[in-house]
Amino acid sequence: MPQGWAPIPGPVDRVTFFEEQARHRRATWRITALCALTILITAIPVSAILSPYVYFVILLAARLIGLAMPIPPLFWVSFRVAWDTFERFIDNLDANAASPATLIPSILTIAPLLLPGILAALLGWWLLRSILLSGGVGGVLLSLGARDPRPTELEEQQLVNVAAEMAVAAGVPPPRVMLLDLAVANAAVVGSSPRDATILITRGLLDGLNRDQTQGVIGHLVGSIGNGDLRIALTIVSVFQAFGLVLAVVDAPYSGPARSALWGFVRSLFTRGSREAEAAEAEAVSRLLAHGMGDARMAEVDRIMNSPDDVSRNKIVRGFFYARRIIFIPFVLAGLFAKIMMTLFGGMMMGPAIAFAWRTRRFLADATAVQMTRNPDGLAQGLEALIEHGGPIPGSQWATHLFIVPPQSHMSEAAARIQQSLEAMRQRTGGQFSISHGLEAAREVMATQRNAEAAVDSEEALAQENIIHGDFHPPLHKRMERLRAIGAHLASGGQGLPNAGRMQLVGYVLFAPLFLLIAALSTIALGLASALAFLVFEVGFMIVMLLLLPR
Amino acid sequence: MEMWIGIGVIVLVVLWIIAVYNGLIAKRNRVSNAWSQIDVQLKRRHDLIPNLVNAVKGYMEHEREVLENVTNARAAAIAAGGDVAARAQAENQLTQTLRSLFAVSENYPQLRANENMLSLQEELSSTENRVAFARQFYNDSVMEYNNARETFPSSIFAGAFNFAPAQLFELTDVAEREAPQVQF
Repeated sequence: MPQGWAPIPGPVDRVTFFEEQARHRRATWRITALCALTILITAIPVSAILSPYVYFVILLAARLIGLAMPIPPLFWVSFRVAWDTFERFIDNLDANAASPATLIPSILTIAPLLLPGILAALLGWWLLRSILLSGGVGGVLLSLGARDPRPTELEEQQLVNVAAEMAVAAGVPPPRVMLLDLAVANAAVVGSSPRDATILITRGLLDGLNRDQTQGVIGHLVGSIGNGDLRIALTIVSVFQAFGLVLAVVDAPYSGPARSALWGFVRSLFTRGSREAEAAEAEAVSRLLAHGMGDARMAEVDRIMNSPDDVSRNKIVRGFFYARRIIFIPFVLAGLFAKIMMTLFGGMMMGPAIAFAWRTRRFLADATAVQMTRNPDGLAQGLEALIEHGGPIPGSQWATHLFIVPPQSHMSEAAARIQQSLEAMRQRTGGQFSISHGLEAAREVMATQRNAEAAVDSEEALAQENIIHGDFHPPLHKRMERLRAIGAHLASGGQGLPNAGRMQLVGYVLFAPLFLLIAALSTIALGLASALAFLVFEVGFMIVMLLLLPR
Repeated sequence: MEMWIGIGVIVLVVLWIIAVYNGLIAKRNRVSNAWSQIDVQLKRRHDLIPNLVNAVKGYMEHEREVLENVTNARAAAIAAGGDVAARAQAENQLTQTLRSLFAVSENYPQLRANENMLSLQEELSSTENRVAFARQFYNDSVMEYNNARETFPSSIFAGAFNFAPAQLFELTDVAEREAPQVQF
């Protein structure tokens, strides 16, 4: 038979494979529910902060329109009822605050005022999710210059064949394979469903890994397609994008990028073009919305709020800028508070759960790959080789979770490149540095730094997010451990997947006091944040109503 | 009161029968889907063979017998039709002839270096892998269907609704069954 062919032994204990696949596809709804819960929990304090702003806009518009044509009295009546309920709540606050038993029901009476904000947040999330569903996650990676495999190159054809083989084993339609001409070794899966999936492989991976290792890596990716991970990735990304959407709405009055992000979002709701166009739109929307959570946003706010007073000699123009700053203050404050709430409730409270759920899926994909190929060594060696030949992939910052191992950060890449150029210089001059060499070196360092700055910016935002909700990739040593366990299990003729739960339980028991402390501190922080949000809501609502509600 | 309980029980039983029936239908459909998947891969192999024979013919003029065996085995496999056991046997035979063809081609170094030949070899070996994986998948679905058909509560209705058992695709290696030939 042709070289390299080995008969794949008929597996005896794969009876449970279907059930496991079905079980994991069912588990997908749980993660969707977790994401919905995240949006709900985060929406409550954010709605508390932003609702006065929304009511302000609605009432102002109503008052202005009311000057031109009559507004149905029902409109004003509903607001007056809300205001009366609110006044009653404030009046009884002293009496009710004495005991929680009466405080909580009284808070519930004004809870409906927050409802529009919460519903708007849920709606925004749902719309974002639909946009992503039609465009698929990871469109950005396709725009990095992915190409179809060349039919003349044997290795690339082999790659397509390996992917098709794994797809047959997993019972999914063969995914499209595309190549990235990068020297770093990595692989990712993009798309929105098993019917619609694309696998991206870098040339570095093809060159650096042998057939067994490549098969293991592709088995992991195809296994994750079969387990429904693309849908999960979509849902998770939509949660964080929903946060960005709210911030974009808040920033819209004074921020150009926020306005274009919103426009992009609205436009992609109505785009019904080719698959590539939809993917590109979804990707543009992601990138713009992600801007809202990054440092670039703070820099922009800074710029607007701190523009120098002597921007122009003309007093009128100066007055205009001054007035503009005064008007923007409430919006900036609202945005700031909203971001704090999102970071606390969305990032700190629910983020770890979501990241944990995604990491579990990575482990599952590893196990699926081994179940399909019966060869844990292939995947294990493949993962090690990927780390060894790995490196940063420019443009991948917001899609890192789709890769099989995380692309290394740009900060380390910049440092490495600076190091490299210094080394090259040292070799060229034979260790003798003169002033001109020093200048040349300095120029090169600055150029390298400047090139890395843009990447580092969003890189930092992402790093902050990771610190808060935990890495989306499981650590390599843990994956190796589990692969080894599965390998030992298979070698001894076991059935199904081994249960790692027992050791984890011991770990939890040992670290329980630490967990309790962290939980207590977090609860206090969240409680204080909720109280702050509520206070802001009370003040804001009062101001808006007193100003705009007609007597 | 008793009448309502009786009606409730009957409704529950009917619902359960419907669920069993639908489950068996779904599993049977998955079996035929998996079979057509194997079919697709085997047909792919059939389609690759004429190219292989043409590529090899120029180099291996003296090995006409081997090439004829391959072509005949291919025709027999295509003619074998839908019966799983007969099909499995015919495909096994084809694998054997292919194996002898590749064994013989070892003696022709120019053939081994030919790009076209390398590409065809890669395609054939990939097709073999795909057949093996498709067989795994098919046998899994057959096992699931047969289990569902034969386990107790559902077995009562399986016969009534005419659910026939499905056959496993035993692509056993005939060479391994033959006694090793000692050659001096």
